[in-house]
Amino acid sequence: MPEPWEYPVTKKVLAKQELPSGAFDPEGTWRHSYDIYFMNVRTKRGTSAKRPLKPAASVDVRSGRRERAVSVGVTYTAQMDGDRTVTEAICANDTLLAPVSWTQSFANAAGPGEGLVESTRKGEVKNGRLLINGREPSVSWQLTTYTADWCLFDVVQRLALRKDRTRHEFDLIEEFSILRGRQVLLGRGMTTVATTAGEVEAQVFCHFGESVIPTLYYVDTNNRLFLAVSTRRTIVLREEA
Amino acid sequence: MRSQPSTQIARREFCRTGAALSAATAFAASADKFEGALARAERPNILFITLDQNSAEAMGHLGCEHVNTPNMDRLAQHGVSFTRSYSTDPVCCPARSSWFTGRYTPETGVVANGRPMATDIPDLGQWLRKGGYKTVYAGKWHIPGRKVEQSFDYICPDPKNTAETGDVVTTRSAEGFLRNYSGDQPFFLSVGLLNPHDICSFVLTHTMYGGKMPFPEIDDLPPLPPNFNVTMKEPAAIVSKRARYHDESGEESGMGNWSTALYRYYIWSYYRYVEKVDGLVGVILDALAASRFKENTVVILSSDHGDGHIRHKMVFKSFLYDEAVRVPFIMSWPGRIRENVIDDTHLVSGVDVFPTVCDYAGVAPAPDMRGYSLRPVAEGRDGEWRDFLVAYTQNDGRMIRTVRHKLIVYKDDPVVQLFDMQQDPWETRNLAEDAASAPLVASLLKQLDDYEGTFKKAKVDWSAGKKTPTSKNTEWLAKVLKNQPERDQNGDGVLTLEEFRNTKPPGAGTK
Repeated sequence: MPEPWEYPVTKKVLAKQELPSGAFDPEGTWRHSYDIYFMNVRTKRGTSAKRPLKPAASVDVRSGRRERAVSVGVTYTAQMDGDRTVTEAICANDTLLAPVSWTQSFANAAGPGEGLVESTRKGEVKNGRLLINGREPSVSWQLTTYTADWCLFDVVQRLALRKDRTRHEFDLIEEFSILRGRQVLLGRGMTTVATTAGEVEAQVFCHFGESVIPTLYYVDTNNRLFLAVSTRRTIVLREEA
Repeated sequence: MRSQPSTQIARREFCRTGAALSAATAFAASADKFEGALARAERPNILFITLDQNSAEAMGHLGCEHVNTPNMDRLAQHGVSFTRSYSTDPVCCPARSSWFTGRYTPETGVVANGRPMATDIPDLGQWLRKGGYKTVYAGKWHIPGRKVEQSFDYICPDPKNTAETGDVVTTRSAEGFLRNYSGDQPFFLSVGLLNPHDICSFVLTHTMYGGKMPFPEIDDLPPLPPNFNVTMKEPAAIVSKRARYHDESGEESGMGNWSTALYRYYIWSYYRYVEKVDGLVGVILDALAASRFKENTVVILSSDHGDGHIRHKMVFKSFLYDEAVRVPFIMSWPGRIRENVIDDTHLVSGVDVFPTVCDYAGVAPAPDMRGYSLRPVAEGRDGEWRDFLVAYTQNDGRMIRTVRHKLIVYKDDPVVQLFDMQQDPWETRNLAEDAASAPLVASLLKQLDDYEGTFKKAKVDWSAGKKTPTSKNTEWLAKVLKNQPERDQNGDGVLTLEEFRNTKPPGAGTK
């Protein structure tokens, strides 16, 4: 059976995008910039080939070690029109990098709502309870094993480093805002992905759960996440620093 | 997929209502004489949250065990959830044109996606703005021919088919507005969320799997629906639509080789997109609850249309079975609107949004509206209500829904469908096939024609570049004929819909 990286849009992206390569330390300090491409919504075959390929969104993920924690920063532009969400989080240095506290700011500078829609909020998990601006969301429960969706970009690299392919069950703080239950992350073994630089060996991790269609994370042999794919999005590494 | 029992609302906790209200005759009150309209000083804010492609059934509080929607459920817990709520025309642009005008689509002119709205009909933004409201819009609009920024303060762009990330921006913009708005005018904030529309990418992206389910790790796939196998007579538009998805011509999407597991996985995926948007609804509701507008805001939630999600072996929309045309409709204003109520009595239509909003805003409704204010019903005041509603699809199909029955009829097609919605809610037995139903069919058809005769129809020019449903079928049948010439029964070189209906593709039933 084909692998999800073989979706037509994903293959086209991989055929044109040069990927960073070489040694990489996922437990060091790093910054990855990813482009996000959307899958065609049409039902007819062949229509995707006629469309120009350009990213619809982008995400920048930063990580750095602290004394007993990991700092994770995420800058996310969902529509490439000036909207920008910046999250700076302190996470526990555990398997899933559970977020402990974070700030999140949103602005849509290019939109007519400029000045009206900007907002900043503080989030934290205190005694196992999620608090946003000091209030517990209406849908909430006691958290034990949990992480945030963007933290998974960091988590899968650390799992790859440890050759951890076990099944992890956890709760998710989606977009650092919304609690989601019944999440699963597991290793799917090794595969080979065709890229501009030739075939790349990759460890594959699969994430799915409430609100989450299966998303495949591809991590190269240097433990670098270079590709994440679902039937809706192709997220590909553009730049590393 | 369910989780966290603390947030769940058991169906039994809802009381049922409406049985005492008469459903015998159409609502007769003059539209511009709302009783009990609020004084201008008391006018509430109005938050209208719209989803895209969310079937009515796909909510936990209406009994779906395979999806977790705690936020729509709690909105229903603090309000009224109407189970007999119908889209006026189950595809994006037409349905939206009805929400914002109070008119059915033959009148708005938006009879299919891409058709421009008639310029002489006011929209809700214009109307409320004139009535003293600050009108604000975030997210998906999708009404051609009417620029949203002319009717609303447009605070966030249309996500344009990228729900998975675009909806987040729409939500954050709405959240920001609720936090930052400091004006004195009451507001009408319309938030156009796009999911679960993302399911539309499913079919194309799964063609490469050869019909197999690609994720065996998932072990909680919902079962196939009881109406998966269709044995009744159907109009050609439905037969051909299903056949096109199932790739009998070899030209289209290729569901023809799908395994049972892949069908079930489609349903599973659909529910994940519903959960995705439900979470964002929760963020907006929480932002409202944390704002100064908490006590004085009416919330209305609906969807433009549903999704086939494999019922009748269909996907997507643009047909008149309940999975596509029946939509959520929830109203909430604690202390004013009844709470904890599932209303499975009143027939509700997308055309009711405009007059309902006007009623709460204390603004006279626009002329010639087809809808009725739901305010008396939502607040539990007895009164008369409509005993039928209508819906359309693709300028080709028409539907009339009464309290008990549903009739579907397509242009130039002798196959009519009649369902007893009480006895057969899955729409599996076409009663019109029974000669004894002829008087009822004729009566409903006349009722539909008579009602439509009162419309001020917009001029619809199908020649302006768009394919008609009929021409689409003709083109598609030519492709089928090319690959399957044996289906041309009379050998005249043309495959008719009747021949298509009467024959099966080579190898059918052997998969």
